[in-house]
Amino acid sequence: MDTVYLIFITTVKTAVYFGILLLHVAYATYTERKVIGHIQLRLGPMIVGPHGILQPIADIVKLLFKEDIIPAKADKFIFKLAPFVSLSAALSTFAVIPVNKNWVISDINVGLLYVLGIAGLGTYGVIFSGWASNSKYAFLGSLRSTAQMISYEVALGLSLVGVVLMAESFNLSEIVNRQNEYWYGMFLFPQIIGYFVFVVSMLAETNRLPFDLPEAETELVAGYFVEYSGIRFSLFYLAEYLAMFCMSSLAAICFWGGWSIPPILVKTFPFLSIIPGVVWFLLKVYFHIFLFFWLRGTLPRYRYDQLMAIGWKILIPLALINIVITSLLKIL
Amino acid sequence: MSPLLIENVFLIYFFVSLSLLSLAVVASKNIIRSAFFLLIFLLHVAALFLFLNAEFLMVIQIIVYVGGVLVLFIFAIMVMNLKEELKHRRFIKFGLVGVLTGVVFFIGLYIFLKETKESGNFLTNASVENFGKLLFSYYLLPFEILSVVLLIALVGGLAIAKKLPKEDR
Repeated sequence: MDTVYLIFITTVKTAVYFGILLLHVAYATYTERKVIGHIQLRLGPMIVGPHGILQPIADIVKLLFKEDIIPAKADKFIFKLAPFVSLSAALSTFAVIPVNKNWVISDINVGLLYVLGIAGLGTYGVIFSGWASNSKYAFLGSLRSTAQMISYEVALGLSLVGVVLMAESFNLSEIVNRQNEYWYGMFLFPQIIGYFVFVVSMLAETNRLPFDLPEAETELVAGYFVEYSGIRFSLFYLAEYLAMFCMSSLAAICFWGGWSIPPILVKTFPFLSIIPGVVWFLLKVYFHIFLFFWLRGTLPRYRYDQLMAIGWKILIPLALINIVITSLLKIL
Repeated sequence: MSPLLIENVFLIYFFVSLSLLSLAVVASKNIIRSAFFLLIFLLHVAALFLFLNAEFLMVIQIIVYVGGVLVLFIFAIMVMNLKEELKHRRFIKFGLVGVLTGVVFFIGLYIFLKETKESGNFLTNASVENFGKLLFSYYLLPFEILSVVLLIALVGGLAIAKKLPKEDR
């Protein structure tokens, strides 16, 4: 009976989590268009509903009813499956991300490694879609993306080693609890180098500007998903935004103290402790999502060789220096 | 339904799909499809570790094989631009030898594994802390030797890749 109950309750939890995530993604696209619009002195979507608030719903309905075109010379089996590979990779990471104290689907001991490993699976969706489309643009985009993701995964992993050293655990809930033991309550301050490396590689890992070379519109039309249309196109879109949310949650948990707030703030303003932890967590995640949009609105795209040089010659050495400093401080 | 029954259902699913997937990897003529089946195969192997409560090994399986080795495989396949595999005599000449090697291998495996018993589930204690402590105390020498071997492989790869053609030297 116990096992059946466990399976049932996990399914329910997953369904609730999934629904909330999809709503977040839908409104992240709306927020992105609004934020970019206001940065460029435009208004953004304004037609559907007051201030265009129903725009994401209209977009989803449009994408659902569009024709699903498959190119004549494509490898149909892999072409159809590739978006689901991307999407399942992006969705599975959320299984271990704690939203509040004990609000997590699966609290495994190697949560951080799990997120890094599963997030790496997203590369396969990109590779397979680019190869199966049988198109030069898509193929070039997927090759670029593979090289970029492999290079920046190294920097991403190394930037989190400092956090693991300080928390002495791979468990994401444990990492948050450990941060609360310090008076400043965040690993952001001692791990500022690690945070910098993490943010830059997070942008590259999710293929967002200024590192969106796999889908550089001016050179590659749209990169690896140029041949997709309708619902399969929207699955890639969904996977990209889910990856953004995953990386933002990881940044919030590992560097900004997750659902907790700095103990010094609670001591000075005692009324802050009545605000539930999930609110703090979401605020921290939204800040990082806003950071994605903000950087998109302000920075130009890097050249491909510059991208590789930043990854291998600046970020990885910086991350290694950070590890050495952290372990030295740990011993002393 | 008892927990044991559910576990058995899952185990049967995993073993059946593992054997079918491994057949699909070798049988499909398109090499990228082979890689696709290999991806699903490796993920199933990772899930098998969970039956032994070895979370760490599962994650390492995913990171090393799925995230590292297979991506490089596919990268190499794409750069080399391989078309469908040909059934040329040159490639299937040694087919019988391959089958015989496989049979001998499995007989050997059976002979060695026939006698093994469940030895107190040592993988359950395979937490990251225990791994680290063992790796840097009891298994320090093999660990260091392995890292030197990896370094040699790295330097060797660089030396081969850096070798310029004769006219450019």
